[in-house]
Amino acid sequence: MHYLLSYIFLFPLFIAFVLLFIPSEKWKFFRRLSLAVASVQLLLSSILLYHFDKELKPSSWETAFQFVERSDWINIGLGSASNLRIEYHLGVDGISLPLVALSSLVLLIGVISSWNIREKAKGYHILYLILSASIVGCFIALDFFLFYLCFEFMLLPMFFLIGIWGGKRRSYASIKFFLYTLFGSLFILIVMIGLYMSIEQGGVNSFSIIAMLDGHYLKDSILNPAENGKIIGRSARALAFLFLLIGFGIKLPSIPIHTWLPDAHVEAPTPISVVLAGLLLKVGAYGLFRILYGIFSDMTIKYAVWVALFGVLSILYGGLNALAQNDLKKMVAYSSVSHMGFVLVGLASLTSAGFSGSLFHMISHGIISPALFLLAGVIYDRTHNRLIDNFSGLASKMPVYAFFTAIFFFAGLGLPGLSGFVGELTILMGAFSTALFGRWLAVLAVLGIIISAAYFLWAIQRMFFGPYFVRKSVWQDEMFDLTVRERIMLIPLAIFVLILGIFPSLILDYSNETIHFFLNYVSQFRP
Amino acid sequence: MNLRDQLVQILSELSLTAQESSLILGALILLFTSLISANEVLLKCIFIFFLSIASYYSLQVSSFGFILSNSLLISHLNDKFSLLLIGSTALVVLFRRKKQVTEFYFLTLSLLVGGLFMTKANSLLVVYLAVELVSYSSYTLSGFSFTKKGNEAAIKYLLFGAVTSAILLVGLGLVYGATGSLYLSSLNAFLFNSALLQTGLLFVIFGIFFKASIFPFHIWTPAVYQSAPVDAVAIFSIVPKLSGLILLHNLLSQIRFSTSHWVVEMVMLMGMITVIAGTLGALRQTNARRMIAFGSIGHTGFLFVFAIGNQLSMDAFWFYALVYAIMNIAVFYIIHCFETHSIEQNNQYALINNQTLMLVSFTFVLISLVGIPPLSGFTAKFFLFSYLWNWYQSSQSNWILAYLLITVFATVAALFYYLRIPYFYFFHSSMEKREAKSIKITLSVKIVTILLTFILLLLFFVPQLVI
Repeated sequence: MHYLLSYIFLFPLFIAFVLLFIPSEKWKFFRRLSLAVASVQLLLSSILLYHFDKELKPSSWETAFQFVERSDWINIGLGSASNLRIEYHLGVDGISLPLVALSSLVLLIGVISSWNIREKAKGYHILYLILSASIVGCFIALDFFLFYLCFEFMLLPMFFLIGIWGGKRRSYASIKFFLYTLFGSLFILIVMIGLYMSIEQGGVNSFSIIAMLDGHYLKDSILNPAENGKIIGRSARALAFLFLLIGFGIKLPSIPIHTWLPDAHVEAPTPISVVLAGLLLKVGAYGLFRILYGIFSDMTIKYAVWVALFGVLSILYGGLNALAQNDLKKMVAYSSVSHMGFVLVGLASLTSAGFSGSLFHMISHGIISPALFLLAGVIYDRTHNRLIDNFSGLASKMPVYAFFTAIFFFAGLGLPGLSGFVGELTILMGAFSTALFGRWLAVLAVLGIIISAAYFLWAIQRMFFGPYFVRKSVWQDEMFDLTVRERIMLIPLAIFVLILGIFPSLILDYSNETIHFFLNYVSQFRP
Repeated sequence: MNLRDQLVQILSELSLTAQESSLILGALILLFTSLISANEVLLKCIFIFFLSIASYYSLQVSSFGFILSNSLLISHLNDKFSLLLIGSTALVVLFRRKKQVTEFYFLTLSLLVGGLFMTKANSLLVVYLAVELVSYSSYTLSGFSFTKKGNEAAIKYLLFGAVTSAILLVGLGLVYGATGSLYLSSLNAFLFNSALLQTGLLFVIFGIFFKASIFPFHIWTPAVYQSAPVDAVAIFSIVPKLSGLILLHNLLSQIRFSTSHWVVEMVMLMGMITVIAGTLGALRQTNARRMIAFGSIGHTGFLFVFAIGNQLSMDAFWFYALVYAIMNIAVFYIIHCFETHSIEQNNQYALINNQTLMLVSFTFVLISLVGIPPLSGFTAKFFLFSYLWNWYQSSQSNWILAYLLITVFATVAALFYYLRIPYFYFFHSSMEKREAKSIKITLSVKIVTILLTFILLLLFFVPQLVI
């Protein structure tokens, strides 16, 4: 029980290491092993959910985390200048726990979706396992260095997964993805070093996120809020805030640093798109939650308007772009940009509705967007084409496919009763009630919902209704309805979308106390 | 102290130069053996034997300080580095070598001796002699490929080296003229407001820049790296560079300039331009060796920070240098294996279908060169960034902030050019049309490369092993 988080984190890595020694002809064995690992992870995170104490009322960040594991990892003196102390420090609170659960679900779906990958299966599954470990590691790391390690370590497997198993322009997309995210994470690295130099725990510098959240700053350090340190005449904390916003903003992605996402999504194989949309974007959002809003709370109040503005821009610009797409996958990719904009708006509002809404929206989008990519993958698997114009009236030929598409499209556009609605509604409640930015931003965000309704409904209408038509006659034979494997992936996601839409408290019960404490803590910085 | 006492002391201290003496002895024995037998294996054995004796002696060093009437300085730092230099030279034997076996190993040993003296030099005369010993050995080594391009590069290197050696000599003369002392350690007694001394010092620094290939004395690097024999290049990228940086550090740490002194600012500016020049140069290369050459110029710019730092973080310097040496040796092993089998020199991206393990370690090494976790190249860069940040916090100098930002952006660019190679190997679309072929790689090279890659991984997780 005590090492539950370590099991979840290290088990895939261990299996990836074991896979190295298995001859590469046994491609069926690899996928079974991956499936087993993902199922075990799902099981372990359900145990985690079951044993998590929802009623715990934290008094400081130190007490906010559960299932904490802590031991020294690297502890060396570096000359006279400094020493380096990195800990292996894991723990979950009400914000990270739902994300851990989401990751294990989406990763399992991802394995099922990669069931038919035969080419270089060994490499694929090893990379996939490394990827899953580092995603989970990001959510549970409480040492900034460990967090950064996982954050960076996602890039390599992702680069190869897109680059080797991707579509036509995969090499371009993968290198673009890598360059953008590395650029962003180096900004995070600089702030991380700055924080390390400014934070103490037990008298020595520390990477501990808890110490950063609780604000154990060293005297005379540059990032100490009381010192008002300056770098080339600008406030050091404001610069650090900006750097982190860029770093996590690229991952999120927010306008105008989102351009890697449509390329990466379009070229990535379906399972990788699923993981990318479902989890990697959430890592960026989680970084905003934990690092930016937790550690730089004073700055988030000061610059709330800007964060909200970028959120609203993402909502509108992403939505309008989605409206203009003819490629189904690209449309879904831009809708992701638009939806992640809501997370920014909810965070910027710094209200309990906005925060809960953002977290809920992250989870809900983490379920809906994998499903949308799976649906796009269905049509692509059959025809190697996914242009919306090439299909029409599919509902008559593939009724089950049409049914699932309708569910997830409606969830995406925020139909009441489905999970997308709850998140958007609570975020907007937060946005309207906050004093940190004007109502006009919230009004613009509402427009985003209308745009999303437009592109989702229009796509449904063009692809599924009207007379049956496919562009090429060879596709005629391929247009069979969903296979068992596809149903196995979509049914649980659909159930979650429905249940969470009706009982949002299933998620919010876990996060309430943490968010309550979080906002109490932040309120001390309000002017 | 009278003359007799001095001589007795010198005699008793001679034993402290046992490393260099054994290497010189080894070089001579190598020469004489070649008169009797030109057996490659025998010569390699002699080479390795004397290197291990030298490393044995450097492990034995227990007393530190100035020796031989102040002309040499033995410190913890240069003792550690001498082990690194000897070790990386030893790994050169694994490269295949058909021609000029004797000459090659003889010159390598003399280059190493020069390098070791450079790290220990405390007298201006020793500085000059050591730098020249390194230079002459490398001029000759760089011409050993006997192709038209190789000759061109060697001549370029020689001419360029002759000029900088003259600059160095003038600088040493000016310093001596201004201070009347031959010893670096006595430099800190002088005030550095005389223009003569400042100019002299700058000239000396420029002379060292050539050895370490720092801007604007780096332009020989790509040509030499491209056309000199690969084993010679592996040595060039490590021994002269690291010993030059140590010498620079020994020199600058004696003169306690403040960070805002113009000489320091000038030197720092050169370092920044080195990083930029290396990065921008590497972006456009199509030849793997030229790219590695520019990349190593960039890395020199990074290492340079430690060399010029006032409150030197020795351990971080040592760690970066060690990781750098490992990465370079590994890269040149792999390039050596792949290159000899590819059709044309310019096209190293021929598809290789039977060496997945080597390709994977190649990718790992390149990623380590970029500095991405979980490889120790990242740890080294991380130490660098924290060191710069620390320095900035204590000095508030905008120069250091600029240096920090440049190194960070250079890292992003490094991703782009270093990843080009795995990018071409693994998923460039033009590769699908090309015919895949099988190559043979010696087992020893394979094992050592994989071992080096493994060390790079290991040092990320437990850097305390070497610090």
